Amino acid sequence: MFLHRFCHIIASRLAPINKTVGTAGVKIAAVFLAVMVVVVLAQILFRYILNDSLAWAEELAKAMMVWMAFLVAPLAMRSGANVSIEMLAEALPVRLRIFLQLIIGAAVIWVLSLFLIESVGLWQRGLTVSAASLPVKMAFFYSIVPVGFIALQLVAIELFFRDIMAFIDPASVKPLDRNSFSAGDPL
Amino acid sequence: MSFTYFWAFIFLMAAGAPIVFALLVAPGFSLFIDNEPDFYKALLSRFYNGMDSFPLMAVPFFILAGELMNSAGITRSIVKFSQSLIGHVRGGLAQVNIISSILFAGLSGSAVADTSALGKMLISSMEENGYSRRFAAAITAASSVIGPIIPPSGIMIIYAFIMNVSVSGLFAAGLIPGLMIAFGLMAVTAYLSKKRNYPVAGRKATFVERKDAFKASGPALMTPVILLGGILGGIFTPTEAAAVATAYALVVGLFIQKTVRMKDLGGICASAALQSGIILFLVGSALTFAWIITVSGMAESIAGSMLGVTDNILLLLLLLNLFLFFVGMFLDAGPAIMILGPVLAPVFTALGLDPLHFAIVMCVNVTVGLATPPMGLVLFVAASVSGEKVEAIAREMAPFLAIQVFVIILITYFPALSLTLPKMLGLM
Repeated sequence: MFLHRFCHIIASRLAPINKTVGTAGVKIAAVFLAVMVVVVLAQILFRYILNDSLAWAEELAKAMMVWMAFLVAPLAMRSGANVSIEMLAEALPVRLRIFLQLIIGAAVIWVLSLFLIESVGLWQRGLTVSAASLPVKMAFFYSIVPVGFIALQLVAIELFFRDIMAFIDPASVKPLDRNSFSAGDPL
Repeated sequence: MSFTYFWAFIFLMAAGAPIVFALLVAPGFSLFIDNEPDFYKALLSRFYNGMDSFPLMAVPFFILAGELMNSAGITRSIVKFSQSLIGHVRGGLAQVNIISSILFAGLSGSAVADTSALGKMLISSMEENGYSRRFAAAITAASSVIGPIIPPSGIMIIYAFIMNVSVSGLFAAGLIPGLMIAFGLMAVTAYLSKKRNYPVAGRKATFVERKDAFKASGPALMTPVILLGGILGGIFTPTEAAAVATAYALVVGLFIQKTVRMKDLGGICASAALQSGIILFLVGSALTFAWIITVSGMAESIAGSMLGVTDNILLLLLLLNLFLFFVGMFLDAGPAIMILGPVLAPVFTALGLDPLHFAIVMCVNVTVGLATPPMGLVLFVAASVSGEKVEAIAREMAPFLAIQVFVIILITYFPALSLTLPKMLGLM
């Protein structure tokens, strides 16, 4: 069927991109996390041993944490690691459940577009604002926000087209591989 | 501004949307329906600023420290130490399970990590020793909720950040309720062990054996001392303490126990980053949602309708606990706190409840909810680790759940149980 093939082409083009971007994001985020620990330890060291505070440490660590969150988000979304309540939906017939998935998918694509547009504005406003303690503009920190939303949008589109395929023929869609990093919700 | 977001949120959640997206779509949709696009900007800035916080950084650090200690194999030494302490009493291994959870609680702030680590180690050996597998899974799940109540605690860090109370104060307030639950569980276990004639795990350990077991687990057991001493003594902020704990876990794993290899570190950091990022996004989106709850005036109308029912604070507290317990059956602790904290806390603090007291009641209640059916993450993990059905574990869990509910009632009506310690330490 034409629609099914069309969706298949789009989803299978996006798959390798999303996979590569997602995995790379987590790897960079891992490095960021390690650096954050070092920065905070340095801050303690300077305060207690050298009696001098590192003014920039907190701002840098915070910005890296936000970057980390955006960097892992695409893989988290694609591997279904975000928490949801599936109990009710699982009780429904397959087609109805996939139909609800399509509505959710469309809503997610819409809200990600909204946030993407707003994030460009945030970045532009950041061009004129200097960071509190580091010699950069806030736009430097904010740059991850539009980039992150674009990456998330690509994942959302892939998942949406996969859901259309599943709606047409539930047997034609193989599940995506779960990521190999996560150990579930740590709270 | 309308309450459209509320219904949109309920629909999305019921349809199985990831909570993080339900929390972002619902307010956006509400603003769209009300034709107020000027506020879209506020959504993004709440989302960004919700994650851009130094106190919140304790969460990724504690997760990383937990991952490091897990790969260093500290679970084994903690279980050994607990066994040398209490293995000789009737129902010894069940008691070992609880004591290990208490010790584990001082290292990690996560019930799920506790269930999976201790469950993997203890459930099989409990079965070999004559316990039923479902009882072993039930005690593992029931005791693991101590994890986020005894500090450090992931959900308390998030609560403190969202509701602007002191993390240190909250940590101090959780210690006694956590120990009460632990001792309650031990008492129930002792009774059940006698009634069902559960075995002893071994002869009483000699003093030397206990000393050796303590030595082996000593490096791990130092972590809570560093953490709590540092935080409650005012030497570090919780975030700094978490960074110190991470560094300490790294040193222990690499150089003292030599169980972590350099090449494992990449994977450990990646896993911790992924888990932390997921939580950070959830916090950011919850604050976006909390913003629209506030500006649309929903918090006040909920408060109004609650006070319309009764203004008796004792009755309201009972209703609160019933409501939270009900919510906890379906929603996990983190999201429950992020979504409901901003709605409920102002109502009760306006009625004269101490913010820390309310925080503890809420945190303990939703944490116990982690182990209640039908939706309870801890229960699911216990089921997957043990291979038993959720229903079977839940049935075995009834007596443990009863004692936990009893403790919730106690801490609800006797604020001194949670507030004495923070007062003594000058944290409130």
